[in-house]
Formats: sequence, structure tokens, C-alpha cells
Amino acid sequence: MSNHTQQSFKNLAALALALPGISQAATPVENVQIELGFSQYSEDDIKADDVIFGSLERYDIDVSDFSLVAPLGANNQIELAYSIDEMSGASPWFVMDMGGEYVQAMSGATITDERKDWLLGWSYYTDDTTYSLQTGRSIENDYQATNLGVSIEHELNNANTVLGFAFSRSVDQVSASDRDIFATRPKDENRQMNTVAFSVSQVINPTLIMRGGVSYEVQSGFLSDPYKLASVGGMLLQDNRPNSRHAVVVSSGARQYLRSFDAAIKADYRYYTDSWGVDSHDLELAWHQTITEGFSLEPNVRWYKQSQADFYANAFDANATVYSSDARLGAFTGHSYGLILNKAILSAVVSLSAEKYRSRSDSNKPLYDPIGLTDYSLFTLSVRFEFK
Amino acid sequence: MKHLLIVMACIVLASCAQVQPWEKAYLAKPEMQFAAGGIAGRVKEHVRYSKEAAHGDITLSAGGCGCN
Repeated sequence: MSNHTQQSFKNLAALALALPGISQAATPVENVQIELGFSQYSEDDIKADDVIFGSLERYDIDVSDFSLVAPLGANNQIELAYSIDEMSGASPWFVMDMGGEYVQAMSGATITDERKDWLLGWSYYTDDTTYSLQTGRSIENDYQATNLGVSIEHELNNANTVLGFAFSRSVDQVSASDRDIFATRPKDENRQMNTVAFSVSQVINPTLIMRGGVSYEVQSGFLSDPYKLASVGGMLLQDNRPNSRHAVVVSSGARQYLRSFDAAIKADYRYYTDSWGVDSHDLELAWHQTITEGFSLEPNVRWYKQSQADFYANAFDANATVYSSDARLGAFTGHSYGLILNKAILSAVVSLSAEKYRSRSDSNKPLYDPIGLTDYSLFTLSVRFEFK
Repeated sequence: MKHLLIVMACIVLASCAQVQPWEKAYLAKPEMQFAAGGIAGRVKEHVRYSKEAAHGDITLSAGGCGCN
């Protein structure tokens, strides 16, 4: 090893020891960090051939975000996040049978809603364990959710191994906003969601870290869509899904740094299965390329595939007891392509993220062909400040 | 399949080196973290939750919404 290489490695090693969480254990952030973001989500119009009536335009959502992470003394950290979603547009309402061919009835482009969501987190750090508590609330004109979560991360093996445990609970209330017009829609219905998760991350070598884990989720209560209808025995009835749902997620990921390229490969895979009959695979790959100091580009791709729910179809016999024609419960494959740009400007980091998502039916049977699957574009511009 | 996964896990864990703190500089880089990716990452996850039947991960989850 040349003298120049030896000195470069010493500099890098000194930097590593100075970074929080690397020397031996995780630690709070050193400085207050504030991030502001604005996102624009826009769905492509539904194809005119797929629509019997209603708007061809779909949903547009503007999201404004605020996030703060700050140390509290040597062993504590707080996090606060607040976002506002402004939603407008039209949504799929029900599916009509046109003699064996199915078409979508859309709502008018008159839906408007605002969602306010806040999250508060607190973490306490010891020499080898991090304890975290999180609570949050989300409010819309027809939906309210309150959540609480705890997590523990324990480091072993010279902080090369981290074991994680997390539990979260959400209690939600649903009341359709237009019951004065549609009296059969739900009022004051409740749902609960409890999730427990276990994970392990392992440093493999100085440039490779891997993570794996499993989670189990139970949902109960009113789990149907409060606005959608389904054709049952020729009559249009409210979407009616089972009142319980059990799901298992198995997840794994890897981060590999490539020294000769000054780049990193990110790979994440998730398998999902639930008691509604939905199985899915989700694979995401990204290449993070450092261009110059403080400037990077990250192209990314994602492939997603899901099977249909047991009670999903475009129409049902009169004796059906659970039913939904919501295309999001159908069998489809989704692809997305994206790019993230990060640029340091003075003491801030500006990030621009762009993603295009397309989804296509995996069913060749008209009765089970999900109509009106969503294609969308998503852009996020954010700025993160660190106050030293 | 189950046996293959167990064997692969053993091979991976057996190949783990004892990485010392001063050797973790590359692992400390932001792009090497498993975190959601700031505001952009959280917005992406929320959109996917509202448009796909599958959801969830192995970390703390946020609350629900009327979007799904």
C-alpha cells in the first residue's frame, strides 16, 4: 500500500470514529435538522373505453411536509413530522356489467379533501440499546386515525449486529362525508390495526450490510371502502369486506458500497401474504452515484406484483356475503422508474425525487380483470437544513 | 425451499467479518442506510399504501388513512 493510500485510509478511519453511531453504538443526532418538502402526485386519466360515466380525470394531491430531528442532551432525541395533503379529483365508484364486458363508473371530479398528519417520536440511547416511542394522529373529513408505537434496537458483536423489535397500534374512525345524500354509507365505524415486527441487521464486511425481518399484522373492525359499490345479484350494494385481516411480511435488504465507483447499490425485497388471499412480491433496486462532493444521482426501479383477494370480482352472485370490486384488490403488476438528485448548497441539502408508476392487469378473465388501475407521477422537492 | 434459505443464511453469517469501528466509514454514508429516505421516501410509501393491497415493513409503522 502506497504512502498516499495509507494516509487516505487513516483520514477515512478518523472520520468514521467521529461519526455518531459508528464508533461503538447508535447515538442521537449531533445537530438540529429541519427538512421542508413539497410533493405533487398526479394520476393519469382513465381510458375513455373503460368508463361508462363520470370523470376521466383522476386524483391530484399536493403534499406539504415539515420534519424536525433534534438532540436532547447526550442520550435523547426527538422527532416531529407534520404534513398536509390537499386532495382533489375523481375516484372509481362501481363496475357495471355490459353483457359480459365490464366498465367503470367514476365519480365526478368533485372530490376535495384535506388530510393533516402529525407524528411525534422520542428515542433514548444507552451504550448498546435504543428505545423509541412514537405517536401520531391523522385527520380527514371522513377518517381519523390515532397511532402509538414502541421499538427497541439492541447492538451486539461490536455493533456489527443489531436486533430490532417494534410494536405499533392504530385505532381509526370512519364516517362517510356525504351521508346526507347516500344514507347507506357508514357512520362512526371503527377499525384497529396491531403490528409486531422483528428484524436483524448484520455488517458483513466494511462495504456490505444486510438486513432481514418479519412482521405480523392484525386488522379488525370496519375494513370496507365507505364509498365504493359492488354489483351483487344485479343490485348495487356497499363494498363489504371481511371484518378481520391477518398479514405476514417477510423483508430483506442489502447495501453494497463500491469503492472503485464511489457508488452504492441498494436492494430491497418484501414478500406479503394475508388472510384475504393477497400475496405480493416487491423488489426495489437503486444505484446511488456520487458525482462530486455533495452532489449525487440515484436512479431506481421497482417491480411489484400482487394476486387478487378471494372476494374480489367485477360482479357477484346474489348469495355472496363478502364482495369488493375495488381494482386495488385485483391481480396486477406495477413498475416504477425514478431518479433522485441530491445537491449540497451552503449548509443545506436540496433533494429532487421523481417517479413514474404504471400498473397492468394480470387477469385474462373479464370477471376478474381490474379496471381503472392507476398510473401516476410523483415529484418531491425537499430541503434539509442542519444547524451546527 | 426452507432448507435452502437456512443454508444461505448460514453461509452469509459465516462469511461475516469482525468489522472494527474504524473500518465502518463506508457503512456510515447516508446512501448505506436502510432508512426511508427522508420526506420523499415517506411520501412514496404513503402513495404505495393507498394504491396497492400489500403494505407494511419490519420497522415502526405510521397510522392509517382513508386512502386505502
